[in-house]
Amino acid sequence: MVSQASSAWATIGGSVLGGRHVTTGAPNQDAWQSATVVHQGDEYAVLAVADGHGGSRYVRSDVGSDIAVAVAVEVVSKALREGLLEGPGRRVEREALRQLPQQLVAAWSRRCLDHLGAHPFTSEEAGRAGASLESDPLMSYGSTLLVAVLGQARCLLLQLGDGDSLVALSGGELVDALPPDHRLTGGETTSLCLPNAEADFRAALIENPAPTLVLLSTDGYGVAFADPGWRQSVVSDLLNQIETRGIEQVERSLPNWLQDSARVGGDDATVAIGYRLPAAGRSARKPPKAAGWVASGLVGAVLGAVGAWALATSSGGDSSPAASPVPSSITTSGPVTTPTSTPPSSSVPVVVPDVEAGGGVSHPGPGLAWIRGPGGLVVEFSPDPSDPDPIAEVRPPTSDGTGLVAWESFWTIENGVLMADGVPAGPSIDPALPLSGIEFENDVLWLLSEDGDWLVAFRPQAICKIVAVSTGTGDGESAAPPDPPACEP
Amino acid sequence: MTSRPGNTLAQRPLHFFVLADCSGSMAADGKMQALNNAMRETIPHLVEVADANPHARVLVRVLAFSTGARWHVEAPTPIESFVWTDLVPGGYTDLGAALGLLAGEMRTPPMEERALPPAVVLISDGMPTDEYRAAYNALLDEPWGSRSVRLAVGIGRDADRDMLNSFVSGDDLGAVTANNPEQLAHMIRWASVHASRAASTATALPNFGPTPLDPTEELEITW
Repeated sequence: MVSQASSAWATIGGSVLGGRHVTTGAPNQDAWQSATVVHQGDEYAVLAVADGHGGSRYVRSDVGSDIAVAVAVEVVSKALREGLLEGPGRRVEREALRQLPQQLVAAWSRRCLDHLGAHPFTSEEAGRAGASLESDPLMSYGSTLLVAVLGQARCLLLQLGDGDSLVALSGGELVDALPPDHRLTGGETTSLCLPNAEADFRAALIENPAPTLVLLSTDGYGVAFADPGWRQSVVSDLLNQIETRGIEQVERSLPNWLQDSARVGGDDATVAIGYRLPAAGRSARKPPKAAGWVASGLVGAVLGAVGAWALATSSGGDSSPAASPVPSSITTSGPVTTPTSTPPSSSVPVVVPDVEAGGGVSHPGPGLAWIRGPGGLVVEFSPDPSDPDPIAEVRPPTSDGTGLVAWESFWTIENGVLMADGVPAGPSIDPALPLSGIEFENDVLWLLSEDGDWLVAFRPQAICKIVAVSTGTGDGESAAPPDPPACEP
Repeated sequence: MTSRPGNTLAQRPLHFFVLADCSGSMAADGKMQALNNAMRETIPHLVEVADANPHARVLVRVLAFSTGARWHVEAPTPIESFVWTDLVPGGYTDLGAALGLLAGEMRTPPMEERALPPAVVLISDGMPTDEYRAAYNALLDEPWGSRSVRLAVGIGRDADRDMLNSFVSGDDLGAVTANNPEQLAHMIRWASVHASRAASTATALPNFGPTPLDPTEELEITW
C-alpha cells in the first residue's frame, strides 16, 4: 500500500523470489521496509533495502536481511529525532558516516546474536553450509544494506554492499550521488557481517535541488537489464509513469516488473521507491523548523574576519534556519563534489566564543559544530546535549595567522589568492570568484567562495591537480574547471 | 509494448575463456589434435550447462599461445553457435602473453557490469617460456580477474605442475593431468563444465576432481 504518511513523500516497494531460488528451493533473501518519522513538525520518509548473501555459507541471510532493514528504520528514526539532517551539508554527511554505520552494525550484530540465542544452528544448516558455523556466527546472517532518508529539502543515502541507490531530479535526470566502490564486482560485496563493515559504508547528501525520486534496489533487480544505461531509463520511465498513471497504479504493476527481473536475472529482486509528491498533492504543511544549529557563512566569516571565532549556533533548535549551509551541493564521502545549481547563501549571525579562555561556549544543539580560528584551530563539539564536556576535539594551532596547516605548508587566502607559506600556490582561479575560506578535510584542501557555494578541492599528492569544481551559476549548469595549474606551489 | 520501466531484459553474460597451449611440443604424439578433438567433444556439454541455467548466456572465446599469443576466437560467441576450428602447433610457450591479453578483458568495460564471474580453462603441456608470473599477478589485480573461476589441465609428464596448480582458483582443487587422448577429453570436459557451472551459479568449484575413467584408459600413458 502506498504510504503517504509523510505529506511530501509517497513510498512503495516490493520483493520477489529469484528464478534460481525457485529452482533450488532457497528462500527470498532480500528484504525492504519503509517508515515515516516526525521530528519537530517535519516529516521524513525512511527506506531500507537489504540483500542477504546467496552462498551456501550464509544459511541465515534471509533473517539477516530482515533484521538489517528493521534495524535501519529504528536507528535512522532515532537519529532523525536527534537532528540527523540538520546542519551544514558536508557536516551532515560526515556525521552520518561517522555515527550511523557504527550504530547500524552494532544493532544488527546484537539482533542477529539474539536470534541465534533463540534459534541455535541446526545440523541441517551446518551440513548445508559445509563449514563450521559457530566460529563466526554472524557470517551466516550476512547481508548488504541500503538506506535512504527523505526530508523536505535534503535526502541522505547510506549504502553498504552492492545494489543501487538511484536518485532523480524533477526532470528525470539521474544524479550520480554515491562514490563508486570498485570492489563490488562479479557478485563480490561488502557486508554487515565483515569486520570492516562500518568503514565500508558509502554516504551522500543530496540537496539544492532535493530529489524527486529515490529508488533503492538489490542487485537482482539491475542485473537483469541488458542496457548498461538502465539506471537512467528506469528512473525516467518510472517518473513518467508515476506522473501519468499515479503511484497507486505503479505500485500495482511493481510485482510484475520485479517478477520479470527475478525470472530473467535469476536473483531475488527488490526495490523501495520514494516519490516526492507535487506541492498540490500535499497536505498543508507548517513552515520548516529551524535546524538545530546553522552554519551558513561559517568559513567565510571565520577567515574573513581576522582573529574572529565563528560559531554557528542556535538556541535550542528554534532559531531561523540558514538559507543554505556551506557548501550547498551534492556531497559525498569522497573529495569529489558534484556541481549543482545553488543560490548564494545569506549571511548568518554568528556567536564568537572565547574558547581559549575556557568560557563562552554554549552547546550548539544537535549535531556537531566546528569553530575555526587563527592558525587553523578547530574545535569540534559533541553531539550529545547532555554531555558535560561538549568539546570533543581540539586541534591546536600550528602556526600564526589566518589559515591552516596542511601537507607541511601553511595555507592562507590573501587578496583572493591561495598562498602556501606566503607564496602564491595552487591553480589559477577566476578572479571573479574570490576565495574567502579554506577547509581541510578528508585529506583534501577545499577552497570556498565568499558566499560559500563555490568550491575547489585539491588532492594532497598534487596540489596542482584540481579534483573538483562546484559552482552555483543559478541555471543548473556548472562552470568548467579552471585549467590545471603548474605543479609548483 | 511493456510498460515496465527500463530497457530490455536479458540473461547475464558468462564469458568462458579457453587458453590453449599451441607450442611446438604440442605437435608431438598427436597432442594438438587430441586437444582439438577434446574441445569439439566438450561443446555439447557446455551447451547443456547453458541450458540448465536459464539466467546465464555462455559466450566463448579462445586464446592460443605459442610464440606470443593471439585470439583464436576473439568475438564472444554464444555456445549454441560455437564451432571449434583446429589449432595448429608451433613456437614457444608464451603463457604470459596470453595472460596479458586475458587481463585486458577483465575490466569494465569491456566486461559488462552485470556479467557473471568469467570462467577460464588453461591447457598446457610444458613450461612457460616468458615471464608469466607478472602477467598472472596483473590478471589477478583486475577486478574480474580475481573473481574468475579458473581450472587447468596439464598434458603429459612435461607439464609445469606448479604453474598449473597456482593458476587454479580456490583452495580445494589443483590442476588435473591427462596422459592420453581419452583422459584429455575427459579432463577438458570436466574442467570446462565445472568452471562454467560454478561461475554461472555463483557456487564454489567442487572439492573433488573428475571421476576416474576406465582403468585401462587411466593406466595408458601416451605422453
